[in-house]
Amino acid sequence: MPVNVTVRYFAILKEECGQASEQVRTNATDLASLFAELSAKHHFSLGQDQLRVAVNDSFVDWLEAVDEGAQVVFIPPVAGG
Amino acid sequence: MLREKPELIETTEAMEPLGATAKNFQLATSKIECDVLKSSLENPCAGALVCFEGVVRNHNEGKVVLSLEYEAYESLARLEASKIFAEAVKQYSILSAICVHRTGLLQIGETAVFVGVTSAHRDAAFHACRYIIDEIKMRLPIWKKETYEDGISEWVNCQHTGQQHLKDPHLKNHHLKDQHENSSGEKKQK
Repeated sequence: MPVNVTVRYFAILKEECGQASEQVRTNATDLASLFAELSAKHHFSLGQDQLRVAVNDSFVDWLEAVDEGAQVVFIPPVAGG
Repeated sequence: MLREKPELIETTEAMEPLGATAKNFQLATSKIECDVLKSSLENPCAGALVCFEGVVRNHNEGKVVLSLEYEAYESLARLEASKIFAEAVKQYSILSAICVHRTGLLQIGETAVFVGVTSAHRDAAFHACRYIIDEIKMRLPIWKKETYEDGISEWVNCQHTGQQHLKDPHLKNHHLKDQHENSSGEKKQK
């Protein structure tokens, strides 16, 4: 059963896919699969092992399910300060 | 890229009890007014005020840096910052703390991040200030893109694969480990 999610992109991922966000209809069962699907589409230079993932403004595990209406953000290595 | 104006820090809201809200953390799109922030921390109970400024440095890893740009995932940055403040309050006897982080384009010498902490006695303020800036660097979803004199721009920490675990926020003891500074210098005020 496919679900619809919003994916927001920041920093290097935003540059690589050329957009700040997109609506995605996906059959991915977990966030890792969702990233794999989007990485195949956008050819991201960073792998899942270099990223963290947040859903609805909370850091979550890659194996969490992809819920209808979720806002998903893949977090590249940070460099604040 | 409009954010809340740093002037908000001038209000007494910045002095609210720590940990309860994220008001002690701001993202600023224009120059950080450190003196104003410092004044906002004035408190007759405070015997110590420790301020830290991270400043844009003109070099990183042997390359000449001309300018840099910060981008933030604001809602998560606020939530994570409020957790960091709550942790600082739990660990150290501090009266108040604030942090302002810049976004957008910055030139050499500009303040990229300001942290100010007050406490009755100096030890708590020094330690809490160090804790807050270290955690902010490690945990907040903020990214930095440096532009070098050869015209090339790079997202810091995103170019060299294999080193990213050094920045993993889940790894502890990073006070010892995090020696791989990038182009923010340090300036401490008293």
